[in-house]
Amino acid sequence: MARPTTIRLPDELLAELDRRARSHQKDRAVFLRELLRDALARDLEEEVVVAYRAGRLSLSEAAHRLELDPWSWFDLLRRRNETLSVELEDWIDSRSAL
Amino acid sequence: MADASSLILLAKCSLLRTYGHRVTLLAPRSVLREAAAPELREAYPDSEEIARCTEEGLIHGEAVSSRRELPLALGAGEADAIRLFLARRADVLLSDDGRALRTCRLLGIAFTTTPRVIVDLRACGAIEPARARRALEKVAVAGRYSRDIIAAALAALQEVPHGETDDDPSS
Repeated sequence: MARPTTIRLPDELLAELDRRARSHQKDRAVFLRELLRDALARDLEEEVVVAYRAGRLSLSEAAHRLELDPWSWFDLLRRRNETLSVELEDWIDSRSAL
Repeated sequence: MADASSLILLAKCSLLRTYGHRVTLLAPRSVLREAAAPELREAYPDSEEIARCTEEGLIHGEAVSSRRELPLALGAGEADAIRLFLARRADVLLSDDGRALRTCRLLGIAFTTTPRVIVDLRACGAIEPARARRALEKVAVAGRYSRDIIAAALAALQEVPHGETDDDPSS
């Protein structure tokens, strides 16, 4: 359910919002909702990637937080030029299994 | 015992089958669902390879009954892989997740990683040097391994004596 809300915006920001909404041929409210959804999704992605990078989330936890499968998580790391959270020490301590 | 990260990386570098022929590869069913659920197979062709290897018995999927608490929070599949490892007293846990590997350290579990598996496969003559290098490159690019680790793995690869291999590129 969509509920009305009020926020104060500086004049120049409101003018820019209306200009961009017109250029996309969208109603101001529709355009603003889309922008908010995109921004919130990006913010969540950033938060999860930072937590993964810092070792606070495992790969499958991170993928799950973003409602991704592990394959898509690898794609996301590639798109963002991030690396796996495996450290050089992990390689050094890893054991032969053959 | 493998988790989804390693099954995916081995499939991405086309060595899952080769490895499965040389070790008894166990995985919790939750891991197999994460890595090779039917809906993933169309989007990710390598996922199909995991499913095929499971159907052919190269990967043994097992249910996990233990709910043992682990020292670090992990995803469902990673936690199940460690619980099954402990229940089955497996030899080594194969994972490419830093947090799962940290949990292994805390529990005193021997672990390995996909780059180490590639070097091992070369060392036992299962693959040619060029194929091992290609696999490491794939693990770096598609698998997002850090260049430091890939450089260390390439150095380890160079120390492997050049001998005969039973490499079959189709395997």
